[in-house]
Amino acid sequence: MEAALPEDLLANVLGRLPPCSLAVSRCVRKDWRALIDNRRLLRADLLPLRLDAFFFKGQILTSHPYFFSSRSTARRIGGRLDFLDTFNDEDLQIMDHCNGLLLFFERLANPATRQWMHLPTFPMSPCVTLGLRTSFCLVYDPMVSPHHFEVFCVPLVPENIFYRSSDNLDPDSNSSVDQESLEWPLSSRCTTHVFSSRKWRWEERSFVRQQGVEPANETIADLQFHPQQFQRRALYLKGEIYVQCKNNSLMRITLSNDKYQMIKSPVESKIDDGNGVLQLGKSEKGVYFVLLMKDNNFPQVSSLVAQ
Amino acid sequence: MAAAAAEATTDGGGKMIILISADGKRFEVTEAVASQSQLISNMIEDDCTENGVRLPNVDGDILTMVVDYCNMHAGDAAAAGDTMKASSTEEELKKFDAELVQALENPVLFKLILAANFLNIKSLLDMTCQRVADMMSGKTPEQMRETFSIENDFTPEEEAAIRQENAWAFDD
Repeated sequence: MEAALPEDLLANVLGRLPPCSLAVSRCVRKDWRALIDNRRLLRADLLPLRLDAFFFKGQILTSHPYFFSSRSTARRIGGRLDFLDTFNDEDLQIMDHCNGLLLFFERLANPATRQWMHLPTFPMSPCVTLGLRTSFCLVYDPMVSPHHFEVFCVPLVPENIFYRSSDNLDPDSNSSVDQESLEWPLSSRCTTHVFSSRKWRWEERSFVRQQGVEPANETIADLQFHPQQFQRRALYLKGEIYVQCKNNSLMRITLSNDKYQMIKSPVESKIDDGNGVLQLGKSEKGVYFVLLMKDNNFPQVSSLVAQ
Repeated sequence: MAAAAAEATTDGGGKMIILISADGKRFEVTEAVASQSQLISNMIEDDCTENGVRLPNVDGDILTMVVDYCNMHAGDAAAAGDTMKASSTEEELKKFDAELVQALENPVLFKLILAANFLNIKSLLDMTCQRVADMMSGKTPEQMRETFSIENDFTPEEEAAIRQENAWAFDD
């Protein structure tokens, strides 16, 4: 074939292969591998989204995560976290994960290679003084940048709230924030702390709201402030972070341009937390809401919310 | 004769063009059919098709397939309201395309790719390249080499190392 097809045409053919076959093609011949590598055909949008193994967080009996994998994976990856420098239960709480990396409190680990590192002290989010539950979103995309990652603090709040020092808060702080938040998200900029492994430091980063993209998909009423459920969970998929907000609306942050959009929940708000919990999840097709029913713990995939 | 034919017009009113393969076979097609090749379309614009278009690197048997393909797909390019050309439905086209590439031996398929590339017929190039990619999909390196009669120039150690780099692609 190499005799029959010149390089450009071979690249045309190889570029049509699914990621698995493309990776296999790298072993066929030296010039094939050179061509695939030089033209960067095996790339981000071809990321192999395949589940090899997963951790399960037991919530009641033990805080140690359980590890599940196929037998062939288990030969390569043990899933034990004993390579970390701690046996402390609190340190071993998985805060987030992304494409094979695990985020712990001020630690990052790759269970497949059993490598880990300390992260600089996590910043004190202004949201803590407001009584908001805070969490972290790990962003790691090996096909975009195999050696770098970012960590985002959630929630992201309007700038005026983020930069207000805590001593300026009224004693009746919640109601005051409540009033200001009614304006959100029309006060377009949202800010949070972001850790970049490139710069190796935490920085404040603001995101500008994209106006007029999907006006039909957003309502202000959906975003009324409620401290506990202001923003619940965030996950990364293909260059974007999805934040599950109040009333299951979604904030979609595009990392390439630091802009965000609000997406209205596809789920009827009738489903309240009394019956079950809506969790944000992802598959290779996109982002989903999954309804975890309280009575049988059996997840029902509810709806695809974004692609 | 070529010159005379090149000046002729069909009943449909389109000007005719003569295509001449490497081994001297002649194909008479309308401008509309021939213009699906960007190369020939440019030549028509530049008025240099009067004496026929010589295609020194396309064999007659390959050019037969290309002309068949272009005749079949000429309706795509023609105006939507043209009922004469609307005779081949989308389904018929798909069936024709599938049959065209599926029956081909690899060396012929590669020649067709080269011709589609040289003549710059994007839809035909897409289709033929996709066909090759489909044949490679899901195969092991050994099967790929076998399919395309390619010699392995890696040492076993080198190949093992490369497999390791993308181990996820080789698991069952």
